[in-house]
Amino acid sequence: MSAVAPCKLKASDYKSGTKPVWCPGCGDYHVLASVTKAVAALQLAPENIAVISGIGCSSRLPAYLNSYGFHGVHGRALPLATGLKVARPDLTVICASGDGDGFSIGGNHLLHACRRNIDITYIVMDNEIYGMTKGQPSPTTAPDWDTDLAPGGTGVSPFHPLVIALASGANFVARAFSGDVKGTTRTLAEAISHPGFSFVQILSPCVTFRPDQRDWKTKVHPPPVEFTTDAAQAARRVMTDDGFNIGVLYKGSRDKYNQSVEREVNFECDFDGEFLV
Amino acid sequence: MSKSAETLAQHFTAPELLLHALIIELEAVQSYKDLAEQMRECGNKDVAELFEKMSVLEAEHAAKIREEAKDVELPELAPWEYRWSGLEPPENIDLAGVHYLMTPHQALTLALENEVSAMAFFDAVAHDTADDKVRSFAQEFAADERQHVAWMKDWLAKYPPPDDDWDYDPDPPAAID
Amino acid sequence: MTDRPAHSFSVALLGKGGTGVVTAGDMLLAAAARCGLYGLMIRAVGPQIRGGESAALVRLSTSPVDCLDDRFDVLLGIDWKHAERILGDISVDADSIVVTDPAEDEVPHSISATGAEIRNLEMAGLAESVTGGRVNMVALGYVGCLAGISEAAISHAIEKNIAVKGRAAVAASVAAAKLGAASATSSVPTLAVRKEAGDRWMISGNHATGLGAIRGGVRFAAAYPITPATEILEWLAPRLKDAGGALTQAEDELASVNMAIGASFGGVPSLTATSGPGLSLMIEGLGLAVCAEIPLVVVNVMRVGPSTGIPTKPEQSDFNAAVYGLHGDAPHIVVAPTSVSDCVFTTQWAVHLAEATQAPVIVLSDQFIGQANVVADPIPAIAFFAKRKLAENVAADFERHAITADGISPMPLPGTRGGQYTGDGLEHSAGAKPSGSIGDHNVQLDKRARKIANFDYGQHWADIEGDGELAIVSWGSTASVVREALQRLPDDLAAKLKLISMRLLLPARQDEMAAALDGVKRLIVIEQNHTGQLYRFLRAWYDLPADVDTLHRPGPDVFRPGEVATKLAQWCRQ
Repeated sequence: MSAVAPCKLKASDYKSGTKPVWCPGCGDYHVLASVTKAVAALQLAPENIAVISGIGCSSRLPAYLNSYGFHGVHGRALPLATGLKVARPDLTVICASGDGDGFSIGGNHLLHACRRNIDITYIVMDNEIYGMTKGQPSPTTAPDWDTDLAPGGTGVSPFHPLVIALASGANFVARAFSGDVKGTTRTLAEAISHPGFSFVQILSPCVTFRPDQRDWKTKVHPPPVEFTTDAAQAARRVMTDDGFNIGVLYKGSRDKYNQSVEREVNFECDFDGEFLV
Repeated sequence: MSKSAETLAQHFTAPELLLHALIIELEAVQSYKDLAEQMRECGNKDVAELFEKMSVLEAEHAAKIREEAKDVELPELAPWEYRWSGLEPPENIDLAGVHYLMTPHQALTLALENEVSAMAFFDAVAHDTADDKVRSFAQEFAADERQHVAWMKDWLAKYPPPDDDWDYDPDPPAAID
Repeated sequence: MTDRPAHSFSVALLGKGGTGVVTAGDMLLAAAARCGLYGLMIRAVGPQIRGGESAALVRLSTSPVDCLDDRFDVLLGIDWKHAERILGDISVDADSIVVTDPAEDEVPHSISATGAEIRNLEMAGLAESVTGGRVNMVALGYVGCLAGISEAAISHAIEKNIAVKGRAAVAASVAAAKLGAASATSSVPTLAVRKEAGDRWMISGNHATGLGAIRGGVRFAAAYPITPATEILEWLAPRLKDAGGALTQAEDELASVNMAIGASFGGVPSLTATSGPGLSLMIEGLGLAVCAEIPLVVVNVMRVGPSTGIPTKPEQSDFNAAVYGLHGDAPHIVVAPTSVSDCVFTTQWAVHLAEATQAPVIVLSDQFIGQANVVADPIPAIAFFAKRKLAENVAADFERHAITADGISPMPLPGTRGGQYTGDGLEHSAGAKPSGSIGDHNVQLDKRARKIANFDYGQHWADIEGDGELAIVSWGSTASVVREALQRLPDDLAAKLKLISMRLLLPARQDEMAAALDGVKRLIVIEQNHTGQLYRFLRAWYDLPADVDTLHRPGPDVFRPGEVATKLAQWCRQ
């Protein structure tokens, strides 16, 4: 007897079969696996899922899934996803990008997506580098990381995604590690199920430009405490975060963004009367 | 991540163990298949063939476990409810060791590590369980893995260790976006 | 050549901030409408947000008007503080009446030097004599009487405008207006008002744009405010909701164009509106909509550029940005309304075109049209809806960007089983897989070009009037000025002229233009920008007669019909 009922969708049913362009050893392969397992666990119909991305290695994700997808321009995945979710609240909308696309050019949109608490899940595959364009520092790169574009390091303090997301009003804030497929799968399933804006930073090593990240698997650890539903408490915890706490930090209960287009649109509306003198 | 296999093993029922054993093999099948595909895309034919062989091996093992479990009602667990120590199923290759220029020796070293850790998992279950049936299955699966360990060691012996400059690529990475 | 049309009466009300000249102008327009007149009003402002000089420029007429006259019959200054900053918009002559309050500063020399008749009206004194009376109401009553508008209509307009302030306020204003009217003696031609007038609408170009969008089927708008486009979005916000749609305020124009794309990807006709600086930010998004074949409408209410420019004044200088701004070979559609009323049709048409061709459409309105309030004939609804070719029963070999005869591929909406694809700004195969091959690129470029070039735009590409061998090409608000200029020419000249008011600027319609220019020997292009942008485009893309002239100048001063008539007469006689 199989462990999986015949009519149920399996994780492999969510893969498009398109061969990823990622380097072998890239953490994003595991993220892809976790996403497929998470949506399989939720038994979401592939045609009712839309995965929206920007530009970068991580942003190639939509094409590898058997759902609807949109590979937009650099930094603008969140507005695309927001417009889609307002227009089609019936869809499960997942936004995916990397630390460059999401925190640099896309940084402004992150603030406002959190504020709106739009009901989508945002996955940022963070490898603390610009992988696609060959190794420039990203907003989460340490200040002393030496690169061609910033020899000796940028000297600039890194961005703290969880702090920003929490402060901006995200309803669900979590960190995962690509190598922990089990944990990432659970966090993603919870994130997708949680109403409002769910933000998941996934540490996902870059095998090509950050070989030092091989030891991330020894550094990650569960947080000392379970998630909290108190934003102030979450804020205190995250200020002492070592960057390797893997788990859900915060689950809030703020109302999600309330604008949406009705399924059956009214074509009979008539606004002429207000112009009549 | 920090729970020992021992602590987890005490709570397995026979159906749960069968399920875990099956999942371990199925995950390994997929993991090797994915890696073989990636190696093919990178033109690393030798390693691709090795991973394909591993995938077949694991599929045979999975079929055997399925046969053993055919009259057993297996529980349905969510993916995060599987109980193994470590971040990954015991028989999944650590991505940190994967490289597009990896040599067969390195691939087999990783595969060997997998088989060893799978064997250790079943050994621990066999050692710590109080249930005879569970022990019996666990010992059988451990023996299977032991056999795989032996095969991996044999295969490994056929390949030389990598040169110091095994990962040297004169061309820089391509920026495609 | 500068005959004063008997059917038209223009009055400028001028005053510093707080005097309420714009409110008075609004009421004058509304009162005129009630009498069966047509009209147009714009607001001219100085640089202050509050307190600065302001003017209401009102033109009333017995027939529809879509532009200002060259001159004003009446210029009333409640005061003349910093008036020189906006007098550039206001031209008076010896036949004009200038009304001034003797208690205030003297009429500026530039005005008195024209020889206009100066009349005194103690606006401040009269206002003070009524408890709660205001100077702008005295002014309103005075000019209303000069225009021949009934006191009843004036009172009604006052009541409608300030009813919220309570009966006492209304009564005080009506009383002040009556005092103003009592002081007026008419010596300008009053307008012959028709008794059986018919319904009138009062509407601005920006509101007309919103109406056209909703009529066309838009149900999602993304909004980032920018002068002079914000009114489109504010008008749409509650009404889209009433219609079952939604408007989301975005954090910037980058977000608003992408939100509209996302919503459209989901199947909902979507729109955003902006001005020149916002269009620059949206250009990348427009290219994405071209490549991924997503319907999109972006309204650009053009203001004086470049860069921040003059935000409160019109210009037609974003033509190049709209037509050429996208990187790569990126066929798309650009349309432009020719008047306030035409904003309804042109925007509705834009929605239809975007949905049908699965491409972005830029609507080039301008500040004059956008923020002018006109009294016009009601604009009837026409059944011209968004109609997207959808893929509903998807076969196994379905291709999102399939090559079809008309270049338009059926589009599956998310939720359609089997239609899953990833929309992409990357070049792609017909099956929507990213592709770097020359084959796929050529095929998709051809398809995206063909679907736009071969679409049937019907007669709407331009309005063609007259049948002479001398042709004028114009667009946007300038086209309306040219139309009126032609009416001022003697019959023998007018008969030689043909006016082509282009509504479809991109793609070029060579066949249609060739038919329109059949028999035409000379051509002149009239537009409001510094470099003759449409003129250059026509020369690049169309076969034109050997003799082509251009009449162009930048904003902020709009063309006037009399000056255009003079120039056309000269041009005809060359």
